[in-house]
Amino acid sequence: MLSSKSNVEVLTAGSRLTIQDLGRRGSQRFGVSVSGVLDLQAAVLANRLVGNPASSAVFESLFGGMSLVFYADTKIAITGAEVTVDVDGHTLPIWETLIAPANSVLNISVPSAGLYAYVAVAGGLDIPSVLGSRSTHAASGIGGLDGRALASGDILPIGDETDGDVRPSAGTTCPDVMVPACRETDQRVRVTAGPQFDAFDDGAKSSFLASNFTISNLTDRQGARLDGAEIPAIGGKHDIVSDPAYMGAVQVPADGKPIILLADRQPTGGYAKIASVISANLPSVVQKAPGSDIAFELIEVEQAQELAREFNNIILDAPLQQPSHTYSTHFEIAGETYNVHLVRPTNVSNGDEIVYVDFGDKTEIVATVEVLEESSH
Amino acid sequence: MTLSEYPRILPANDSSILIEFGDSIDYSINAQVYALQTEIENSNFVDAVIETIPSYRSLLVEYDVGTLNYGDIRDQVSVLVKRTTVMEAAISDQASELHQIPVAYGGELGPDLETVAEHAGLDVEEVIAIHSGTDYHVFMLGFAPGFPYLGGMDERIACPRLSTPRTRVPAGSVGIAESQTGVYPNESPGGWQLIGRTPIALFDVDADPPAAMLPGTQVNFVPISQQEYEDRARSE
Repeated sequence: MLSSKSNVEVLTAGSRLTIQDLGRRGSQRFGVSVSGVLDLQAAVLANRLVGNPASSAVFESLFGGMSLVFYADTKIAITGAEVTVDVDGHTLPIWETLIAPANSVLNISVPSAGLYAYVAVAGGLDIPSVLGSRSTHAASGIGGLDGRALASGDILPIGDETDGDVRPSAGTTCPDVMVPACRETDQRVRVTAGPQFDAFDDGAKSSFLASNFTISNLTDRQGARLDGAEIPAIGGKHDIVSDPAYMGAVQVPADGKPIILLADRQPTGGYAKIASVISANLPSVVQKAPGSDIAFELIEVEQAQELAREFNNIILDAPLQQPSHTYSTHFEIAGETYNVHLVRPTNVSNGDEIVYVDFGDKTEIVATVEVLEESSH
Repeated sequence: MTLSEYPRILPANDSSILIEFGDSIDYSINAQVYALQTEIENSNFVDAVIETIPSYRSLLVEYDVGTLNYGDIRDQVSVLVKRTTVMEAAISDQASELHQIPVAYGGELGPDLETVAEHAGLDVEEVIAIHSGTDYHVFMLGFAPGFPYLGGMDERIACPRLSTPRTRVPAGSVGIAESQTGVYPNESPGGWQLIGRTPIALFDVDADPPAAMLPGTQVNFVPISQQEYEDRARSE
C-alpha cells in the first residue's frame, strides 16, 4: 500500500519554493492578499493526477533547480514549466502520475520553457490553514510554513485529502488538450476592456492593442511588468481613487508601462486599469519568462466567459488518460526474480526503458527490464 | 459629469463585476458600497459569489462563471443597487459602530510628535487633543493586512511625510502623512510621522474578524500613558 501519512523534506529549494493552494478567499476586505497558485491549470492538473481535490496545497517552484526527499512511497505529479524530472537518477515524465519510492530523491531541473513548476503529492501538503488557506503570502508573512518561502531542511507533513475512492494509477497522463500553456509562445493574449478603459484615448488604446511588449525582469508573484510602448492616460490621469484589484488586471501607472497584476497583488490599487487578461489565458501569461514577447487582443466579456467555461471544463472535468498499455515482464532484485505487469501509457521498446513498478505493497525503480510480452489493457 | 453617471455597473473581468458609486472619497458614497455588500451577502445568488472587495467608492464582486453569466449578475445586482441607493440616506444617518483604539502618544513610542506639533504651530498636548478628539471613518482596509484608510483628520495637524522613510516602523505605530492618519498593523518600512503607538493587535489571523478596525465603521484614539502601554503590550 502506498502510505499517505508521511513527510517530505526540502533538500534544495531553488530560486523560490513556496506552498500554494487556490488562494485565501474572503479576507481581501481586511487587506489580505489572495495569493495562491499562479498557474491554476498546472496546479489543478497536478492535484488531479494524484487523486487530490483541486484545493490541495502543492509546491510551487520558481525556475526549478530544486529537490525533495520522500520518506515513504508517495504518488506525485509534476506539471507546469518544461522541466526535466528524475527520481534517484531515473528520468521520468511530467504531466503524469509517478511514484517516488521511500527514501528517494526527486530532482527538478531549471526549465527550458516557462517559469513555474508544480509538485503535487497524494494527500496534499498538510500544514496549518490560515484564514481558510495554506497559500504563502511572503510579503505579509501569512500562510505557508511560518509565512515564508521554503528553505533547505524544511520538513512538511503529507495529508490524507482525496478526491475519490481510488487515486489514479501510476502512468496516468493528461490528454494533449489539457497540456498547455507555456508552450504557446505565438498566441496573442486576449483581454477584455478594464474598468478605466475610457481613461485612455483612441490613440493610447490602439497603441496598447497593436504593440508588442516584453516581460520585464521586474516580474514576480505580485505582478508582471511590461517593457515597450508607453501608454498615456488622458490628461496624464493615471492615478484613480483606490479601487479593487483582481488577477490579470492590466494597470498603467504614471510611467505609462503596463503591469499585469498577479496572485500576490494587494486587494486594492490606485492606477487606471486599461484591460483584464481573460481567465483562460492567465496560465500562459504567468509562465512567460522575463524577455518573452506579449501582445494583446481585445474581445467581449461574453466571449471571455465562454472561453472561461470551456477552460474550467477541461481542467476540472475532462477525464484523465488511463494507462493504455500493459506489459508482462520480470526482473531480479537481490537475487530474487519478480514477475510483474508493467503499466505504461505509451509503447516501450524491448528492454530499453522502464520507469517504476508498482507491486501494490512496495515500489521499486529499476533501470531497465526486458519486455517479454505485450497485451492491451 | 451628469447626475446619471453613477451608480455605474460594468464588468471588471470575465469573472468579476464592478459597481461604482462615484469617483471621490466621500462618506455617502462609501456608505453605499457597504450597504450593497450587505445586500449581496443576503441575496439569493450569494452562493455564486466568490468574494466581494469594497473600496472607497466601489464594490467588486467576483462570481462563479459556471453558474452566472455577466448579463445575469448585472440584472440581479441592478435591483440591489436601486434598493441600496434608496436606503443609503437612512444608513449614513445611523450611528455606526465606534471602536476605541488606545494610543500612548509621544516619547520613544511617538518620536515625531514634536515635529508634527512644530509644523502645526501647536503644543504637543494640543496635537494629542485634536488627534484623539476626532471620530475617524474607516473607508477601507488595504495596502497591507488590517491597514485602515481613515478619513476625518483635522487639517490643523497635517504634516508632510519624512524626507527619508524609516526602514523599520514597529507594529501598532500611529502616524500622520499629509492630511491622513493611520496605524501600521505590522512592522514594515514607512515614511509617516509617528506620533504614538497602540498596544493592541490590529491584525490577528486567529481572531474573527482578523482586523481590529473594520471597514465602514468608526474609530477613535484614546490617549493612554506609557506605563499603561507597557502593561497592555505585555498582556496582549
